Amino acid sequence: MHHIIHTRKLKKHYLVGRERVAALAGVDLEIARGEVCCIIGQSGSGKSTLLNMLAGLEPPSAGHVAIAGRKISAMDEDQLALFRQENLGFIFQSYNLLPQLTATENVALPLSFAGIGKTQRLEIARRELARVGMGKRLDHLPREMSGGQQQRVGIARAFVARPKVVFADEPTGNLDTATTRQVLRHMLDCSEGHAITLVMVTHEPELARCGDRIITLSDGKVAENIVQDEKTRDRNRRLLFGETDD
Amino acid sequence: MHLPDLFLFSVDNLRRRKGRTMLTIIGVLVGVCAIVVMVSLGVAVNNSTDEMLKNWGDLTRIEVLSEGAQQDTPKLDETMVEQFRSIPGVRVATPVMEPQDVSATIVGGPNNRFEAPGQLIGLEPGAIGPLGYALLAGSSKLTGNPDANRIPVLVGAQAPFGFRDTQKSQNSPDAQKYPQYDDEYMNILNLPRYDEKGTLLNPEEFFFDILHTKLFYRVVVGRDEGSGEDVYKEYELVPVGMISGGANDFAINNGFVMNIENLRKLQADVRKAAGGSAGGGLERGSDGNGGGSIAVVSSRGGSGGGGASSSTGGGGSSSGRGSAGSYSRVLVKVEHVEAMDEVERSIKAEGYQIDSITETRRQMQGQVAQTQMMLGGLAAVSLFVAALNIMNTMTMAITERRREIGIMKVLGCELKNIRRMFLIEAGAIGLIGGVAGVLVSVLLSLLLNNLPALLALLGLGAGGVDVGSFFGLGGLGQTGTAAAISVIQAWLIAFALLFAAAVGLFSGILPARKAVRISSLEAIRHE
Ligand SMILES: Nc1ncnc2c1ncn2[C@@H]1O[C@H](COP(=O)(O)OP(=O)(O)OP(=O)(O)O)[C@@H](O)[C@H]1O
Ligand SMILES: [Mg+2]
Repeated sequence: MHHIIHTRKLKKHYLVGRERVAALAGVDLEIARGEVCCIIGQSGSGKSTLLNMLAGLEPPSAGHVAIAGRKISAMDEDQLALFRQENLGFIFQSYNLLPQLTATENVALPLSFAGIGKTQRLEIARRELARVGMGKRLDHLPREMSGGQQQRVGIARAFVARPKVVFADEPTGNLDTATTRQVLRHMLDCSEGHAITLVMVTHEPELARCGDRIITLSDGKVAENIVQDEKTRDRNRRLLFGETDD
Repeated sequence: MHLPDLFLFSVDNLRRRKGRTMLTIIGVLVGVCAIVVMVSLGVAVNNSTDEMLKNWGDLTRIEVLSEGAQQDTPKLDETMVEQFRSIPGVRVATPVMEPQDVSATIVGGPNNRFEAPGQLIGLEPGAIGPLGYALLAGSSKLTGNPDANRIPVLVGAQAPFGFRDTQKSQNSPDAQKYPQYDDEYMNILNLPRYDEKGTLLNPEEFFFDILHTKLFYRVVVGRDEGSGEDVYKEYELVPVGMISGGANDFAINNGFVMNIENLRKLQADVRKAAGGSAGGGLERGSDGNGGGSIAVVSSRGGSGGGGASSSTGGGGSSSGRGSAGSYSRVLVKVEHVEAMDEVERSIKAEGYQIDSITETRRQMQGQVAQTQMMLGGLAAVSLFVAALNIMNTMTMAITERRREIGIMKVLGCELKNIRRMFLIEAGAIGLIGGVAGVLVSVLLSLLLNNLPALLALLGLGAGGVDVGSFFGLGGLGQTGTAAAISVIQAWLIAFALLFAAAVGLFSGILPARKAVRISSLEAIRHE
């Protein structure tokens, strides 16, 4: 019951021409509530495919996925949309802010889907933006912000509705090292501050080492599933963020 | 998601693509404008026909004609009149007797100096009141006639103009007093006017006061062999009142109405007199009409010509299509306008042709409706094109926004809200186009209605626009110079707006469905 994400024999294959490409070849996973879970693996190993399936963006070919006790692999589109609205957040590699909306409006978007009134949701969005250090850019449009700033808005948008799980597919893939650290810092803070499970796909092992669990995929299978203790994790984080013990 | 949020979102999206949105809106504008203007022209024409028909007279009167009836139709006789009376909704039915007797005249004044080709009309006295003829003076009582040679009559209001002064040359301008018409040629300005006491107020317009003058029905009954002179018989007519049959009842307005019983007796008496006069002197009607009434050829050439007469010239007699006891016309008065359709249907079912204002109106409106349908079809085509336009615009917008839609889906936007967003967007295009179309239509309508004035202002001369002829109803323009050419009523505006919004919504259905089907993976796909 403390496993918020749970998969069994999760499989996904694509038909490319006549050929069947197995993107996921049977994945069994348990991810605990509040965990930061990092997924690594070579390009084409099935990381994105797994993440999309966990978030209910794509139906699996076989097996099933349950999140917070609900079997999302059996839901239809309508149920999935509602489920995502109530339980999931998403951070994209290319930020995916709506270009016509300001930072605040972008962050408030998931709240408007949930039917929260305008003044209230803008207020909540502003607070959330301040938390990721964007308090001074509330009314900027996406094109008026740097990649790192946009991604911070993206983080605020993912966490604003206090979901149970936030998924992130290479959220720092388009950012330089310094910005990557800053962004990752905000993600970890948000996750920790609200005990929100974070599932993140990354290419960089030193980022993955900041998580509680590191899953390595290879050819659509779980090659390694390591749970780090808090000490190791915090040491890794300090190493990455260049901080001393305090 | 709340409706205002959906609305803001849609409007925002429309604003983002101003140029394309404007073009699409213009498309709707043209379609809506075409429909509204078309309908408004039709409404205006129907209004002016109604206005005109109101002047024509009674909407609840039906004229049943024996002429033009189908082959196996029964005679239009007393039995049939009785049958008409029994149709539910019929108030009265009366045969109309009109002897077409060219050798008869009506004379009056000093020494019977004035002579008119006056037409006698026989009606059932009980029907005169219900038929709704306007009594202008005197009383309408035609009953009580002890003396067969003194017959009470109701004089038609225009009958005084039929008299000619026999002591003046026929070509003299003073030989007759003429009616004067108003500018639109609709109304006679110098009809006789009587006060309550029965005094004629405008005696200068006439040779004599027809209600206070002895009139005689003078009919040729034979020829004196020796002198070659016509032999007359005269019957005194006693005018008891003056009636008007409305603007269009020529026969009543120019005729002398009497009790149909009296007319029958009179005809019988004339026949007897003609038969009893010098044999051979009287030539029977040579028109082959062997009917029960007399038709006498007068030797006095053309004495009665030129004046007002409702003679059809063809049949010698109205009281028969070749057989005695059948009528050429029967008047039926119906209780309410609502009952008209039913009564008319019943009479037509017997095989008779009918003539009523309602029937005329129906034909005119049918004509207008037909033209409107055709033009409305064209307007509908332009609106259909506008709908396709909206569909195209929306489809393009959705294709451009695939990624955005994907993102919204990932962020938990429910499908119904995505559908609504695009339906609202399409509906808004329709509604805005509708509002613009109505505004432009109102302007166009103002322009059309003031066209003569505007043309005059531009020095192009006041050439009125005859919309009537446009709808296949010639001559309406003449009556309606002051009438509106285009009438836009509140219901038309409301309908246009609703319709435009509905067309927009409808055009949005397919694109919205397409939007809903867009995969949330669109958000993930790298560009
Ligand atoms: N839509 C698709 N159609 C066909 N094959 C696909 C599709 N999506 C993914 N694949 C295939 O599935 C496998 C896994 O792809 P996936 O995108 O999950 O890899 P990844 O681990 O995310 O790689 P990367 O690190 O490059 O993002 C790959 O072999 C890929 O070619
Ligand atoms: Mg990937």
